[in-house]
Amino acid sequence: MTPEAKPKAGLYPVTKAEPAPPPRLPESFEPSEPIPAIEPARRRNPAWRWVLRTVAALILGLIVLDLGLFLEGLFQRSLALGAAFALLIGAAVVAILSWSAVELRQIRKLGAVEAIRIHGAEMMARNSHGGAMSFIAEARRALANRPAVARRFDRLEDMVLETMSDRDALELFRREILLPLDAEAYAAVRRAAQWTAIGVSASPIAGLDALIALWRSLRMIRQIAEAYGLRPGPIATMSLARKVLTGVAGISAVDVMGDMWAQHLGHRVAGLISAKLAEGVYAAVRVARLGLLAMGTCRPVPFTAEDEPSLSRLRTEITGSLARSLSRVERSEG
Amino acid sequence: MDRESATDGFGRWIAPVAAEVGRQLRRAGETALSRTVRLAVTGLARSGKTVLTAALVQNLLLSRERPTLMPFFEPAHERRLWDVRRLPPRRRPSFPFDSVLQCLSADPPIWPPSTSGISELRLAIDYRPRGLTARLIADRPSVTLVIVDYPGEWLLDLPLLERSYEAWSAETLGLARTAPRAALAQPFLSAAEAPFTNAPPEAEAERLAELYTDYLRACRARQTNLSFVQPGRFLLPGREAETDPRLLRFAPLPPQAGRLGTLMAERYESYKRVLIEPFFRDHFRRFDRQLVLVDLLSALESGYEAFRDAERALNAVLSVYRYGRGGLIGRLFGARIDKVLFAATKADHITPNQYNNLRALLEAMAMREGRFPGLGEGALAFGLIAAMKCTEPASLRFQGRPVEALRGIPEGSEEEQVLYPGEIPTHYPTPQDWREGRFRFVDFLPPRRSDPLHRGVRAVYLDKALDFLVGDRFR
Repeated sequence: MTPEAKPKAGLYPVTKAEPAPPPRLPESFEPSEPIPAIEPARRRNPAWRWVLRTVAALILGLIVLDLGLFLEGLFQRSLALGAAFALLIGAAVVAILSWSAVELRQIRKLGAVEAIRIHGAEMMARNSHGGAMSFIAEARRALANRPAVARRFDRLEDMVLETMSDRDALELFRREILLPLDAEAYAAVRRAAQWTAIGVSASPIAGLDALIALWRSLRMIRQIAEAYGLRPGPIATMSLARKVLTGVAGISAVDVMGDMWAQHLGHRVAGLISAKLAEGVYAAVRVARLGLLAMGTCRPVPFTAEDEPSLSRLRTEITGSLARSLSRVERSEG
Repeated sequence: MDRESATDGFGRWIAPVAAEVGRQLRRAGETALSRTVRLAVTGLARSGKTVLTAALVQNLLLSRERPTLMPFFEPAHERRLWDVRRLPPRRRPSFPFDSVLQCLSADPPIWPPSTSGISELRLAIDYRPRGLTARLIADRPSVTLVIVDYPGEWLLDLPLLERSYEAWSAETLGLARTAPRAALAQPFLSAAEAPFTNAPPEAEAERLAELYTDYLRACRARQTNLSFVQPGRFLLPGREAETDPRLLRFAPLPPQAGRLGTLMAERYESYKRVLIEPFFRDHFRRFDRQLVLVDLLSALESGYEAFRDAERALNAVLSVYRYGRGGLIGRLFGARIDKVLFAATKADHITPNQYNNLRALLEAMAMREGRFPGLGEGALAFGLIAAMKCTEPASLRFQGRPVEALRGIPEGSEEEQVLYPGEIPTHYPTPQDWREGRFRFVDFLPPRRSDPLHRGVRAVYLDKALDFLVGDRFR
């Protein structure tokens, strides 16, 4: 490393100083170790994309044409009727557009969280100084749209001094902001898993199981995202779900292990209670695992080993609650 | 009906007994979990002991109202402190807490006058134990935290216990003849080498002691800033020494000094017996935890010689711990200190990006003479502290780039100025490192309008130090 030129040590008049640079996240991060890029997923057949696009254009064209003809008919009948419906259609279009804009912004915010996470991981890895203030300011912008969280940020900013090392400041951030949010997200996962377990065990039709699991999963992902300050609508939730699932594909070994374990558990529980209940537990564990992955995706700082929520703890909680509800059923029947 | 009233009667009889038993059990539990921790704070003069002690106590007193004040002191941040109150001192003179705080919150604030002897401040801290079992035993045990503040100079005297007068004289005279001490010691050295043999020994001892004390004072003067001064009580006598001024009337002499030498040796021995030993026996032996403040920055500022001298003093202090439990001090007094923190003070006088270097340098200085077998794993730590943060971050533009700097009011100035303190050497420094403009450390005045009385003292890593030193006693 070549020594950089330094100013002469000593006192300077205060007029020579400039205000400390505003806390801002650098435009691009250069992590000390490059993060291994995930190789692109198998590309779809380009013809398929064309099929999609032309079909979408066709449908859109049909809708526009149909609406136009419909309005024309109305105008021919009566000007007032035509104008009223034109207004209604216009309002609907504006509503759809603004809704999409909000959704798009949420999707982009998801990207911002990812950028913050990379930055946070980098700061935790290095024993550096001076980055934490800007990190916290940025995290505040991403997270603090809830009053309770904003209050916690006020408290945090009262604690963090610029003299703290980044690691210390992040430790305070973790303690003051993240752990309560983690608890909230974790509760959402547990709730969803318990619901799935009960719903799937109780569902009389086979196809309904899958629907229950899917519906609960999407709701859970949404709740997790909300816990971490995001407000995804259906589309942003789907996009988030996709992100979570791409993460799953990247760690397929874990997935396989999890499946083996779940089957093992399934057999044991099946031996004890019934196949239907085991199915419920199995589905619940899948939902729970998805939830934990979603937490990892939405969290602005990667999990440390001590914070990482454990699937085994969740599993005990799920089976426990299932057993409790089962005994309640037994009691009411007996 | 009958049965019911019988139970009622029984209940009426048993309830107060049960309540009383519960109260007694609880009281017993609280007594069992309550204890005293003696935290000793020391450092050479001007290292910031007084402000640090006051800041520590003030922040503890305010910790319930302002939980954000000490985020790294676990019991405070976990809101487990019920109550913190001051108790009257018991064994030692009282620490002038209120007057120190008054100085710091005056307008404009000033640094308090330095304390010169040993003093103590006692706090009763009621806390809630962390563990469930402990909480079942007692919900509100109390820790009596005794903070004892004493001059670091006194610690420098410990090695004297092992040395005879002749050995000590040879060593001390040898050191006084080296640069830069030789120039300061010149009047004393010439007097010591040719004492007036026809004068009465008492008068001659008086004269030599006076010259020797002047020399020590010159060593500690701000511009020279040498740290290693023996015997430390010559500069900071303390109350005990005032009873008999003859205790401080000796000086090192070359061998074969005749009657004068015998007198000096006698006084040296009584200095050890009357001043050093009682301090270690009555005070030091009782300390549980020790915080040693090292003003490394001003030593660096004063030049290579001052830096090397600070290292000598640091190692003399460390030798107290290097002996270990079975060693000299353990043998003599059965010391029980089990956690020691060496902290470089005035960390707010450098930019935060230099903290790691400062800590590493302090550790390198301490480790040059070997490790510490007497202290257990994790019992010794090196850190940095600023008891009162006097600077704010600032930025200077240099060749188009922003450079981290500090903003504050330097001592002797009326207005705010910006300091670029330069960089702490990342390796053990050589004389070549003191080239012009490499680093500059300036003392700052306390911050204005910081209102320590109500808002506590903004400090750097004071809470971490406290947590390391006594946090385990609040589990």
